[in-house]
Amino acid sequence: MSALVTAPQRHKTRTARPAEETSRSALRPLVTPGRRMARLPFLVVLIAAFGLGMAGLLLLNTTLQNQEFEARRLTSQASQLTYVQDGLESQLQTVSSPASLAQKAYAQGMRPDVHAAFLVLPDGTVKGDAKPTKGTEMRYLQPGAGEQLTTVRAAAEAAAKAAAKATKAASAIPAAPVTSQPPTATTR
Amino acid sequence: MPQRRPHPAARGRSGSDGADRFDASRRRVPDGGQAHRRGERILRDGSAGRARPEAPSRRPSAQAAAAPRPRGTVRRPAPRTPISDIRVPLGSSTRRLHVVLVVMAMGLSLCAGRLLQLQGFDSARYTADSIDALTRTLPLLPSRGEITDRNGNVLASTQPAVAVTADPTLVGDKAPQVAAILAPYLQMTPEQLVPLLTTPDTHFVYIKKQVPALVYTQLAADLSKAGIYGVFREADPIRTYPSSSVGSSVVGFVGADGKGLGGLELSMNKELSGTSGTETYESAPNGSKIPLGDSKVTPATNGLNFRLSIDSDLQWMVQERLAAQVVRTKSDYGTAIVMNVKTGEVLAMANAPTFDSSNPSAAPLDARGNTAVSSPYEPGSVEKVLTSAALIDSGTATPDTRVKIPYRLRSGPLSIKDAFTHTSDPLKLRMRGVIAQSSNIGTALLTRQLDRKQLHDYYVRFGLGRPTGIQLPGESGGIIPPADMSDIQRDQAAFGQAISVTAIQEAAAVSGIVNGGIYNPPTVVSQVTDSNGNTVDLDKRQPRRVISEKSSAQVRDLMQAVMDSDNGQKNLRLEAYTSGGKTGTAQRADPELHRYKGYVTSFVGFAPLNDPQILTYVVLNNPKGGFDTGTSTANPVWRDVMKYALPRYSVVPDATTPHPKPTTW
Repeated sequence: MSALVTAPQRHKTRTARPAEETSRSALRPLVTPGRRMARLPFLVVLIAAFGLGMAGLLLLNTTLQNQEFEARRLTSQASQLTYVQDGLESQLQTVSSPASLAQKAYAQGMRPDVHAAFLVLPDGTVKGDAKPTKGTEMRYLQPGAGEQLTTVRAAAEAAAKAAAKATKAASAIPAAPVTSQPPTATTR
Repeated sequence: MPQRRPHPAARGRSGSDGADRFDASRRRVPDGGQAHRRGERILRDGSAGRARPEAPSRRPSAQAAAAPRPRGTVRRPAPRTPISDIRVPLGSSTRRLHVVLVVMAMGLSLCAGRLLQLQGFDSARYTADSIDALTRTLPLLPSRGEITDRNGNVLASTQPAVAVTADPTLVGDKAPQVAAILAPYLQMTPEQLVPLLTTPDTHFVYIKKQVPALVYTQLAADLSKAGIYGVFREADPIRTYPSSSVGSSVVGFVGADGKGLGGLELSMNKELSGTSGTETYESAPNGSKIPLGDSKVTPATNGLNFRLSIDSDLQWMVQERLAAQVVRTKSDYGTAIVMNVKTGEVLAMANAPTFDSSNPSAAPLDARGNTAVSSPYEPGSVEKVLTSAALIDSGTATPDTRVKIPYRLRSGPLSIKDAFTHTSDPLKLRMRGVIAQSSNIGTALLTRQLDRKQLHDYYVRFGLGRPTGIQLPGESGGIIPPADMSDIQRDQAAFGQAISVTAIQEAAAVSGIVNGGIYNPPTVVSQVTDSNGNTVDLDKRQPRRVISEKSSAQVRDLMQAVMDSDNGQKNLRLEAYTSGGKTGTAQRADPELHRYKGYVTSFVGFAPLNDPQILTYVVLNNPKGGFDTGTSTANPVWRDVMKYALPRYSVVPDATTPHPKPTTW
């Protein structure tokens, strides 16, 4: 209640004051605009904001670029390791090839076993005649025979070719003077 | 009142001549407002700036005409400058604005037009141009398919490698330095390298081909450390054949360009090659890839991988054994085929002499092919198996059919004889005996009872006279006598002369006959997969019935009789397995002399007898010395191969003591 009572009172005092003022002058107070920043600090702030932005952008770009370079480095490392793996695999394939294994086995005195026997389950009967290999069962199986044969035949072919060339050359020799004869004859 | 200094422009204009007088008079009015309206500069002393509202805006022309005289007295003489002469009077500012506006509008329209042209009409072209300038496209090469044997042993694979190239204009002046770096990596001497690096008038030379990629990466690192630019690479993969000559005639080989030149490498070149892809990326002017730039990759489709039916361990054994026999018998060449009777898969296909796939040029020229599929020959007595299959299946004869065999049989102008001595005349043999003793006369006599077209059709059904369709290049179809063959042709073809076959045709035919009459087309490929591991079905050939199951059993009976004969028990048969077989000794048609000279000796056999699993066919062409029959040349190889192969494929030994069936009557 007291507020309601006091309110008009205040209004009165307020209205009274402008009345006094208008009597004095027509000047009215203007709302003062927010204090403006001085020109220099403003420029500094602007440059700082701009600089920070640029630096951030540069940082981001650099990071991305670095990651890209790193990715590229790792890719090339991966491919290099793949090359190493391929090289090793190829070596392994060569040493584990049947020819290479068989030749090594033969060199160590191993021979194919042709006396295989089969154990039939569940009755346990043995089919076939299991006996130790003598090593002479396949005496005509000679590792390296194929390679040797190829080499001998290639040499024979080369020799035959060389012989054919020689005979051709030999048959060409008597022909040569004949062809060279007419010009000399004309000069005479 | 201070004197007004006239405008410099006005000054020049006023002192020109009488024609200009009217303008001059107008200008000399000391009216600030007027001057301002005319665009004249307002003096700083404010004389013209002071408003004189009472002054008339224009003076009469008479007054103006009188004005110059007093002005001349107050004014300092103005210096005449050439530029003042060309000054044109400024029109109204509105007009000037309009002119400027129009000029600017025209300029802007031009810009806008050009913009429209660039962005609107030709945008696609310019975009394409700029993309062209910025982007690079590299082909992505597919990797060639791998060839493995039936157990996964690698027979042919591809190793990444490069061809090292150089731009002599870039490295020429540093040639000794570059050569010193390259030499140890490329196993070349600087003396070899320097001339290459200093090749005149070119931007491109090959330094070395097929350098392993790993070596190149090390080499490139060294070069960049030394700050040398100008050595490049080109993809140049190496095809490696770890098994060298094992299975080489099936696998084949590739040329320097990586394309197949022999064997499966040639016949399946397209499938093995795959299709290349592309990589498009944005690049800097020096060619380096721009990080974060646009890039697009169309991956290459790698070639198909082939898993062969060849068993490389068995293949090795067969090759070495065969080669040893070729040396021993001084044969021209030998061929051996081991087949899985049930499937038609070729487990081993050997030729002697053969070649090393990694170095085919070291082998003689005629050893670089695959005689088993490409060289037809007259098969001789082995053909009797096919003839008897036709006779039995057509109902013409049975193994117990009785034949009276004369000492000689006339056939047109020729007379047919047997290779063995007849113990009686006529010799009374059952058909079983005819085959067991390999009587030419007996076979010819029996065949005379069969319609010749029917005989021809049986040969065709057995796969003779046309390629079998095996996946190997250069397959020959051989020659069979036509349906209306002459009597002599029929008599001769019956026992394997006047007919030519390839080893693979003959092996597949006998396989089909003993396999309950089901012919499986011979194949060297058991599985084809793409790079994702999906199976690709390339072979459309289907197994087919060629004779009845009963006929098949009867033919096996005949072939058993061969093994149970005296010669068979002494020389041919296997110790641990029941088997059937047939020797063959044919007269050899000499390709140079165009007549028969020497022999083609062969042996075909299978085991076990009643459930054939593995069939081996061995041919030795033109053996010399004492070796002139299939028994002495081809059968020892056959026995060794079977002894090795049967346990290997878990075929249970089933040998029994032989109880020969009657061969005579």
